Amino acid sequence: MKRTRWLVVATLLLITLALFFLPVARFPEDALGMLQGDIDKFTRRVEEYQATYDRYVAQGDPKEKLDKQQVKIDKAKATLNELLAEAEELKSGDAGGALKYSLLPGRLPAELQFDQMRINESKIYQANPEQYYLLVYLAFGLLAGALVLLLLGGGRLVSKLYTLSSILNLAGILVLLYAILRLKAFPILNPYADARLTGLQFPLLLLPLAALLISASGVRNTKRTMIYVLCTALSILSILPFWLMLVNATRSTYQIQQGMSLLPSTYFQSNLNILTGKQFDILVGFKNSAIIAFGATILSVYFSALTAYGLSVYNFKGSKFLYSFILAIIMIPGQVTATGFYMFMYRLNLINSYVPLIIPAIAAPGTVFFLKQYLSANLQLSLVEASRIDGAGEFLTFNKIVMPLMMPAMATMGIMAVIGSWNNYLTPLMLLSNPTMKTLPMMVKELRGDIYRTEYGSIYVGLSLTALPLMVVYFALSKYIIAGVAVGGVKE
Amino acid sequence: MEKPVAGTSGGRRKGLSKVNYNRYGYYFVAPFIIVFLIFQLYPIIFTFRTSVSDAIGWDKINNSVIIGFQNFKMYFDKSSPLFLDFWNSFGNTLLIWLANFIPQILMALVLASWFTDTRMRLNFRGGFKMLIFMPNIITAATIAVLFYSIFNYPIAPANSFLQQAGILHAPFEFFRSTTAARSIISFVQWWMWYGNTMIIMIAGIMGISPELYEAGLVDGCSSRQTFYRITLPLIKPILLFNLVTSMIGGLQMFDIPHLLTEGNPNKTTNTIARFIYQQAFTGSRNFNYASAASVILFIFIVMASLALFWVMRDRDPAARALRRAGK
Repeated sequence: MKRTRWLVVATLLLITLALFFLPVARFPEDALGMLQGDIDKFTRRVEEYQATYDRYVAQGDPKEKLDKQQVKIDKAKATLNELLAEAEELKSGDAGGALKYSLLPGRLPAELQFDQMRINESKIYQANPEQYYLLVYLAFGLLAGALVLLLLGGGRLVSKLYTLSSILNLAGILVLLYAILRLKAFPILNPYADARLTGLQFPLLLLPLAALLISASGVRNTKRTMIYVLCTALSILSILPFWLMLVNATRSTYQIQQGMSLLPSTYFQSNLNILTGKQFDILVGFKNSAIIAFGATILSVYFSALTAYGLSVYNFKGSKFLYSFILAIIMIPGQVTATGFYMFMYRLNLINSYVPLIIPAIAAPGTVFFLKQYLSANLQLSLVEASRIDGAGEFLTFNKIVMPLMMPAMATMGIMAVIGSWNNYLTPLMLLSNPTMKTLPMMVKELRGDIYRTEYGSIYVGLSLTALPLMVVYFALSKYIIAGVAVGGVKE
Repeated sequence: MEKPVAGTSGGRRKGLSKVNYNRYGYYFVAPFIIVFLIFQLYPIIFTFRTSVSDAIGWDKINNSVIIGFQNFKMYFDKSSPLFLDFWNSFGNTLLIWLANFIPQILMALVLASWFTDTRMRLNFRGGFKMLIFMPNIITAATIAVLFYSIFNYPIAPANSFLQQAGILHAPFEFFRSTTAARSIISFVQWWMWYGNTMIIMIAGIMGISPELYEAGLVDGCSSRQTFYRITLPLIKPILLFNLVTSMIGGLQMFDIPHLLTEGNPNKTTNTIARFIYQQAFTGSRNFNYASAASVILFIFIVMASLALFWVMRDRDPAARALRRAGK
């Protein structure tokens, strides 16, 4: 590592360690907060009385009644004014003061007491200050360790110590972040209020982060390690929601209420029974989605191949224009014209029919574009001519000779088309209202409804059943899918 | 523009085949054109027509009358009942899109540059790519309901975790808070799409001629210089393409807001696509207002795409030359 870089990192870490000893939170005395409750009460009361008074006036009630009500209003107003004045005084005088708290060597001030009521309200939560202090020491230790390793590494160009130091630094930042978040959450009993973090929290977190970035970008091995850590974290982030879904699908409602878990349980069957007991017929949805997706895909791929072949082999009038036109319509925003599409289908009497979901797939400009690119790179026109000489008709040539040649590209586009059609939500939602025709994404919406309000486990079973087939397909074919996405994007 | 003359150009395609066979081209492209005209072009025209008609309710689908631009007044007259609704949804959509697109493109660029860095030679690139891209494949509807279940109130994994960790002492109603609801939608969109953008960026970078990188290596470029001087200028067209497609997709965002928050709290996560959907497919079926909103959105998308192409056009002749060299 370069000498200056090394010095900067060391200084940043040193400052961070020093910041541990400065007050990071305040616990203001919350007399004002207690007053606020009364103020709200009286404000409401004045409004109520005023409303009653107005009603009396409207009804034309006798004057005595009105006067009586007026007295009541005045009384309430006087009390309210008193309270407001008191609050004003408290605000201007900064009365009571606040207790300060620094992470080290700090302990929560003895005056603070935990609000047991708020802890009891949620059975999961525990306020354990001893555990908290350990956490702070751990954060300090990790960052101090990072500094020590860095110093040991000295000004050497490359050293394993730097990598280790960065790892400790990262761990320290995470523990520190957690400690600060947790500090804010301690439920403190009146008259003191919950922790208000001071501006110090930002340098406490940002300085070691800056140190981490500077040191990691300076040494290639360290950078590599940090990239691995980040990519692993992102991969976990991708999986975690699905993992939670699968795990919760096997847990009972009671277990889910008790808290989060990453380990599966044994209630899958009973959750599934509850789900099927509520008329959630996943097989029907599966069948409907499959009919639409595969129907649309076969048409889309076959006719796109036909069009691509027509464009690349025949030099007919307007073929160049047609190709530019197809490139232009790739960008047409589809959902924008949904209203017109729906009304037109209504006129054709094609509501509650799969025709408008399958037939339009024939015109897939993106697929045509990709297959045309593939053909111009892979098709020898001599092959077509040879087939003509042998007496094959044009369509026979296409079906028997050219199509097998295009299979890899057609498969890639086919997978993309199946997934796209399978995941489509808005178009079937508009067109299909018959419950027996519903597609899988439409059935998912039911899981959000009231009938599953307390059946947490079965919601996750339903979600898992809709997601699992796709996940299986994805893991089996990810190579082709990723290739399909890549060629789709690089169009210029 | 010039037409190839028989015999002089297209050596392979000369002679008997050219004259006899080219008319078959029409048969091959006919299904595409017919279906396109019926199912794509006509609905667009029909949407434009409905936007200037009085089509409210089922009966009017078959016999609406053109009444002029009155429907558009709904969205440009401050006193009309739909004015606020529409422009608020417009603002929400742009906000949510920006909040997911900016981190998405940055993350994708950074990851793509790492994954293609020849000097870094990361292992497990395929595995990382596969996992990071995965959320993009799963049905958006499923993901929306999944995140709804994860962030639900009062009992759901997110709240349980935050309470178990001691960060919250009472469950938090994510979908009652505007900031939280918008952030969750933006996060889900980011989470679903940054892998996709990354794959496209990687493909773009791989398409750059390796000779340029070799030249850079010989001249002693650092990784950073390579990225800023070679990679970034050369994938600008792909960045632009991605920006435009993402904008077109983002402005039509429907599935996630519709199933995750239903536009709540207080319509602050309502998007234009949801607004149009609600006008046309719920309540009194205001097909005309929905179409007018669609037309406004359509025009906005076209203008914005053109503006983006214009802003990002090549002004620097050196970059243009470099790109041509790269091909």
